[in-house]
Amino acid sequence: MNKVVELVIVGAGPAGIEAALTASTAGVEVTLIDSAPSPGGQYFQQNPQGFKKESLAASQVKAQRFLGRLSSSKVTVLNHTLVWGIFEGTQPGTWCLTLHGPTAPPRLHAQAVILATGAFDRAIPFPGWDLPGVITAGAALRMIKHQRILPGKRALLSGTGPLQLQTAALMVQAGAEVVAVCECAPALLKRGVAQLPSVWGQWERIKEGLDYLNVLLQARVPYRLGWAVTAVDGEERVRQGAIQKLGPAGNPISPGEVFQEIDTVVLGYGLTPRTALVRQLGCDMEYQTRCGGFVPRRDSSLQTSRAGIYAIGDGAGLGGAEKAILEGRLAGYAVANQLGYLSEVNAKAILARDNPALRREDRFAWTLATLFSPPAGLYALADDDTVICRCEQVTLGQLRHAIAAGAQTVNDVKNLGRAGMGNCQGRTCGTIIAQIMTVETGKTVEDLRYFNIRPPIHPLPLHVIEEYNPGSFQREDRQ
Amino acid sequence: MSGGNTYDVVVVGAGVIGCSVAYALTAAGFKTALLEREHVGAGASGANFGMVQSNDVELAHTIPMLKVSKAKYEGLEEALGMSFGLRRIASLRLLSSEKQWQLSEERSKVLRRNGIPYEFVPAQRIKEIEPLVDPHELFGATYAPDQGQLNPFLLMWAYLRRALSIGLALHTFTEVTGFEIEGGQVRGVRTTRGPISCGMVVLATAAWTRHLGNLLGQEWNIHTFRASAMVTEPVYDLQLRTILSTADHIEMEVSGKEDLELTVLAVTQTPSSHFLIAQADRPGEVLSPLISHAAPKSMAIMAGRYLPALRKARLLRTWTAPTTYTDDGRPLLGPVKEIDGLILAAAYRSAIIHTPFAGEIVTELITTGKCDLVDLSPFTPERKMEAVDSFYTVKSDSSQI
Repeated sequence: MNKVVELVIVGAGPAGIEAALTASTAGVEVTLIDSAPSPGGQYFQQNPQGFKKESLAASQVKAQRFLGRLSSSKVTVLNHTLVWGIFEGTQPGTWCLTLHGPTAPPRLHAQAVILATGAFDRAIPFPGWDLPGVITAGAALRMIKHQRILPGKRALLSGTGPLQLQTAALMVQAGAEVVAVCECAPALLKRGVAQLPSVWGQWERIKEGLDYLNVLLQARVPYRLGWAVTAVDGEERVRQGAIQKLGPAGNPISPGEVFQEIDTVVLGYGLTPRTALVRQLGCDMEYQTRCGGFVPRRDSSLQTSRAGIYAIGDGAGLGGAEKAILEGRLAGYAVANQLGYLSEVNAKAILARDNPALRREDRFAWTLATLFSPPAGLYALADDDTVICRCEQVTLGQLRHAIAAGAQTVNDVKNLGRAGMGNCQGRTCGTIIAQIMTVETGKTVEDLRYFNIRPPIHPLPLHVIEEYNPGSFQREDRQ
Repeated sequence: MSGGNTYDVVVVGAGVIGCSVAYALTAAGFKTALLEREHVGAGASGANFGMVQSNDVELAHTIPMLKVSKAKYEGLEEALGMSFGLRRIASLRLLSSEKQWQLSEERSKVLRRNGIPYEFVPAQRIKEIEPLVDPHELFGATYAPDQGQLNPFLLMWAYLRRALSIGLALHTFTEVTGFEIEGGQVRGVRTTRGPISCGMVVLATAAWTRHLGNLLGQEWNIHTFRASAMVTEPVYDLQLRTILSTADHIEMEVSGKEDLELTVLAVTQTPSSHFLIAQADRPGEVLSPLISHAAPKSMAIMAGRYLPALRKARLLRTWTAPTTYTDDGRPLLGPVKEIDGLILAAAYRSAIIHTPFAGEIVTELITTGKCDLVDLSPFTPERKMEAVDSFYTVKSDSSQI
């Protein structure tokens, strides 16, 4: 008989840690799993051990406090551990998670699961976007903050939203030359004024944004509002990048301006919720533009359509770290309540207390999504030879062929031409293909649906799946 | 449902059989709608290896129909204007005991008499045919050199692409929730997207046929078990020449008694060098699209046992689908008694080899009210079934699962 633990939380970012601390304090036995070497996620990213602690930014002080609480709690933390699948458990009403990591058991059975899997970068394809040297803003931040590696010496940035301001500022501070930052959002200032009321009170965030802008101003980095990178070129890797002014729908309207001798192009077109596990489980999904795409349908306690499976934070709908923490608290209490550690009265009181703050964060997230979502015209930059699914090397021309055969959803396109069947199961190309199909078929993204996801959600060697581990194989696999 | 929701024929189920039937009916001039509760090929049709196999056939009655259907694959890609990757490939079934060969011997004679090569290969010759297999614990193998394989998704879309261009209405994510019957005659179907009127309904619904029959008060004799499969990354330094399968229904403990799974292994390598591995598991009326937590592990163990070199290959995906069978191994094919206008084309064993002919048979039935192409009497939905061919039926003591 497998041991059944009470609560497993996947993802040790702000949402997952807060959920773990809340449930653990209420008395729940909690296991918190993350693929990184240490907890914190993208937001509370920790430096590797051995790096000097330099002057700590406000968010890092907060991170230290947060992680301190975690290390002095009763929560069992499994670092360096991939969750490659989630299944119906052997006992009715339980769930089975399959794991891979140096100290992790191969499988964990749980009464409740909270998925706090965060988000990943959204990219937009254009000719040359698959050349080495083209990276996403999240990757650039990770290289600089986490690994202390400068992604490139001469970089061109293109995207939308505050994240790329931060990326640009950090790259400048780390010693890179940033030749331009393109913000694709059309008429940003005019539309921004209308959104001021919901930004009112978000002083810490506004200050952070202004600080980044100031760094760019000091370094005389051109900030091009309403522009975007539309093509890059180079043999073997990026050498030059063209930018163009965009019309109201996001289509290029000016002749290109070309930057020569660049080695890096950083794309930051916002984020996509990481929903692989909820989709693998067959949870009901709903399309929410402001949440960044398809997200799990949740009830007021943040439970999905599968009983005992909760989804919180950016992985359940983009909203940033503050909203993620509030959702973590709510889900932590909900699970404590489900497992009988909390009275119904207490649960309701907590809900009433946290709801106004949650609504305020929701409004702010809505504002960001309204101001900074890539316009549809950008998805027309690729040409027939541009590779859209990079795992399986499927070009736009091949996708159009599949669409012309009568494909009704993204899964039909996948089955007709292999796009999304590779290593990442369509993580990068899934939303792009849906956007391309809206143009080609006139259907809505909602009708085009989302890729089916099958375990393992990370490719793993068969000997890991069969739980066969003589040392020789394991060493090879870790590299 | 937008626009005209009246059709001559409604075909239910966009799997290989449903797509072939919908194409043939549309081509014959019928105003046809194809309904599918999920996306195209979401059930067993999209979950299999595309084997065009004749060695697995029910012997007493199915061979004549199967031979005609197999011949229709000649030139089908050209006729439909789209390649679906049809290729010839041998099938090698590994036998671990003499008893397994004795159970196959009769099959071998009947198949050979019908021009389908099927022979016994002693253990020491297995390596000539399939160098990757370690034969030292095997008794031998059965070898069927003249089998085929194709990409089932492309087969479905080859039919659909052509059918859509000549007027087929394809409604996916549209589930049938009931039937309109008046005076013993089909008048239409109810769906999750509204009612549809029609004079004929064809059910090509495989594992869902029993459920739909229940809506009509029918108890059709169809069973399901779950088949699971997985695919590795391309492995270029291993070359598997055949479709490899095992003959023992091996019981094994996966991780404790409650995870007991029943496993029949099949392995093949695609033209793009991916390895496909499959097993039969979980007998019982399972319609869930979710794979069990034990299936990936048991498939990996089985694959590693027969092909140790595969252990290092990375696994990309696993999946599962309910698969249908009948006690006598024959499909339910033909008009339903007492409900005019309702036709079944369900529960084929090795559905893909039957696909090209299935569309023509159903179209003939609808056009003329009878079928002169092949004798359908062995396949009538209401027939009494006697269990045969136990060697090919998945058995299990379900109390242990």
